[in-house]
Amino acid sequence: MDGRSQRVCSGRRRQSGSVGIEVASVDALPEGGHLVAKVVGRDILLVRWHGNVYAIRNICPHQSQSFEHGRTHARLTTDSETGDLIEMPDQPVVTCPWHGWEFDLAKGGCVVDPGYRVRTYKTSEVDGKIYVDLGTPDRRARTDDAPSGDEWANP
Amino acid sequence: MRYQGPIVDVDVHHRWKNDAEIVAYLPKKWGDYVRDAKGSVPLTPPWVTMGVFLSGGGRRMDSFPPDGGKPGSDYETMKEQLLDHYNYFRAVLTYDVGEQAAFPNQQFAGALCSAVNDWNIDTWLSNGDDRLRSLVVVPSATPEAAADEIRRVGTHPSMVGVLLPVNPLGRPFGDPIYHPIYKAAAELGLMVAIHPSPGDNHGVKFVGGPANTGIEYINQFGAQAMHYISSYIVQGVFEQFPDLKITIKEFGVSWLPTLMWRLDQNYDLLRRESPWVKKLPSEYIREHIKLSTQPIEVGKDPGAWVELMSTIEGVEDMLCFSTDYPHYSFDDPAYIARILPESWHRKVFCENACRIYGWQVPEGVFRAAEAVR
Repeated sequence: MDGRSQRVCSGRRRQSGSVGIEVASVDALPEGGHLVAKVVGRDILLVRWHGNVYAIRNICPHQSQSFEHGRTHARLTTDSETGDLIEMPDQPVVTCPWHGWEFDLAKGGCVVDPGYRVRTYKTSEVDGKIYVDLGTPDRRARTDDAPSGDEWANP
Repeated sequence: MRYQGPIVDVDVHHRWKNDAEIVAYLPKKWGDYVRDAKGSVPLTPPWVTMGVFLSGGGRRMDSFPPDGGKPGSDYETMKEQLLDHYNYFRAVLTYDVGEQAAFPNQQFAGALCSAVNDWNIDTWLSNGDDRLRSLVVVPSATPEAAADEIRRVGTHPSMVGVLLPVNPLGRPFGDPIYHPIYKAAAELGLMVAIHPSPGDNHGVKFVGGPANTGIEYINQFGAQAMHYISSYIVQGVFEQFPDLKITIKEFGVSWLPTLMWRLDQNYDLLRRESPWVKKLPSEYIREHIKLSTQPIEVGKDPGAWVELMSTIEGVEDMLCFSTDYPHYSFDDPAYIARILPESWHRKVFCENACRIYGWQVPEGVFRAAEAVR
């Protein structure tokens, strides 16, 4: 669990030039790390993947488990002709530590059944701090099946 | 609907921290048999490799204890994540999952089961936590030796049943070859639990032989259990041992309506085939069989599952709650409570298991839970 499992107190107000609420220092979240922050009463999982910080509501919609001790890895897709598994390194998914359900860190959809969703949030890093914007679902990744705003689970 | 009453969990997997713990309990002859320069050869039989099901090797990824051991090996971790985390009255420890019982060397399997039972009694069942109970693991390929082992350790007050985790002989568990096991269990008033195991991939012949992959293996559990229950009835296990109770653990439950319906539909045929079928098969099942809830086959509409199961009159008397901790298919009590009708909670979470194990229902715990609602 390198660089993971560190809880932080948070919820400080917006800083000038930032977007959202300060939740952690940049140094607290190394590459591949998981960090749970309590933000205005919500547990949010922060994940750093390929340098980017992702934020996702820390409740699996299956049995309400925390993602903290799960694993983040590249989404796997299948070559339609050969059946070979292909890694999608720009599409990280977090795996629930209990039953292995996988969720797209950018958009929150369940890999197997996109009908299950977890809310994700936009993040930013300013002056050594990580900020989470509670009001903006993160849509920086693919938009082919992005849900409308009212479809996000666990708002 | 929430449930805050006492919980009996009939399927909790515990294990030793390392094989040396068990080797220390083996007679010298068998200890020398498995010791090598680095410690000992693995005490898990060399079953067909099916790959790692999930990232945690089939375990909850948060269940690895801080001492670096394997999930289920550390009491303090289990206490924190399970026994104290929920309102536990009893946890029935079922090893991980006891497939040593079917080690191909049958003489060694007998010695190994005795060592495991002795280790269990000296460690987990002597640690002062009165919530813990466990089962006698037996060398099921040698049923007479298994019966001897039941009589040797089955009188221990915390041994509340017999575990058949594998079927090494490739015959359904109702087959007369296994009856010495049921005779010994019935003598001591112990229930018998059957539980799937990768070891079944050797002994149980699926269509065309052993499963090639994990997904084939896991998804035939229901078919396996239906065969076992049918054989118990037609081979007369319940007529010969009328007080015997069987718990079907981790085979799922949703196949039960189909099985009971089809057996009853074929009642006349079964009576011609077997002199032991003296009443409707569903009556034997109601009287003698309990099923653990995990893995509960519920999708997005729990009501549909309840409706299906409710086609069995009194099904709420046949289900016993289980988590399967620390395995990856763990079912959280709160999750199960949301699925089950509230009128089933008391029976499924506690009373049904108390009945088969002969425990007093903890009414005081129920009252305390009711008081804080």
